[in-house]
Amino acid sequence: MSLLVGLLSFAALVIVVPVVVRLGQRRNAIGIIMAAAMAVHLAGTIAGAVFLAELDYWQNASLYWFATVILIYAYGTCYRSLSVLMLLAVYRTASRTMEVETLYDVHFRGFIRDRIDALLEGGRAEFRDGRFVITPAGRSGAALILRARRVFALKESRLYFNTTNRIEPG
Amino acid sequence: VLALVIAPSQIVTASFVASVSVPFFLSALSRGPCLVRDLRQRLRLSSVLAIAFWIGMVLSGDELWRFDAKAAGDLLAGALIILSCILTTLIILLLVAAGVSTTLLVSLSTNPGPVEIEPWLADYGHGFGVRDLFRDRLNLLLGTHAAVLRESTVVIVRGARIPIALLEAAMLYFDFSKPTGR
Repeated sequence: MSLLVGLLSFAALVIVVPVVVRLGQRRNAIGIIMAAAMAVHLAGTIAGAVFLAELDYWQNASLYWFATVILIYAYGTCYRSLSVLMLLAVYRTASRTMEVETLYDVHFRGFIRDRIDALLEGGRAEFRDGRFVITPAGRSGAALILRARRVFALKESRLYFNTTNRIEPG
Repeated sequence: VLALVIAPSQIVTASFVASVSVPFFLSALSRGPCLVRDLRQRLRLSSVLAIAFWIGMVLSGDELWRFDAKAAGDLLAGALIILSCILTTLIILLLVAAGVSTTLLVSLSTNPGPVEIEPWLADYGHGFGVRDLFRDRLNLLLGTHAAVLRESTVVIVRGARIPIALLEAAMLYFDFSKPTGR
């Protein structure tokens, strides 16, 4: 029964998420999804503990958070996967085909501009006199990423395929 | 009155310990004598080691051997906890290793001063630029067999219509249905 409470709570979250992502102003809604997930979890746990003779918290929570992590993974794929964005750009044409150069010039460059806009929006970089410059918040974020890359030896893994990466990264 | 059991059982506690071990195994396999060069293989092996560690702890405890509903529920909960942790590690690792925004940010931080957009993007990875990234992600897309390359044109494969329709539904669900890119 405790697992069922977790499952029902997740069903409630599935209904809540499309509403809350439309309420937020920022394009990246991970923060608001996490807040909603915690609120639904709390409400579900309280309701379960009131109605059941005994609610096993960890059985309830494990199923709920496992499903929620998958939901967040799906969100991340829709939000940031360049391959998915490229696939949809081609699919949305009438002929379902696109020249590689058009895909790069018209669409892919736009996706990259969106990423740069997100850095500016998040206060990690600034656009000054026609040039980009990092902010103190961006610098500490970059230091954290560099530290993680060092710990997990991720220096050469910035692209998925080494074969396309003809020039070895530094 | 709230009838809530919060104290974790042995099986659940073991799953937390095993979950914490995932980044430790990953770090141990990232250097020294145990180095596994391929990132995917490294994550796979770390996950297998953590799961084996958990199974070892569960088998050596006494809860499992009661074979009751509580043990079965805890076993499922424990497995879900470890899988959640592995998936979270995968998400963070991919973001740190191959994330575009993270690499753009790191590149900006290693530049001594302000940068102009074109030269920056042409070599933002200090050895690769946006064109290499495009080729990389196009290869990733072609690797899914949802699209093929005919001469210099990307063509959607007929059999990919249903998965793409599901993807479109997910984009609508998460409010990303408006096309990005200009």
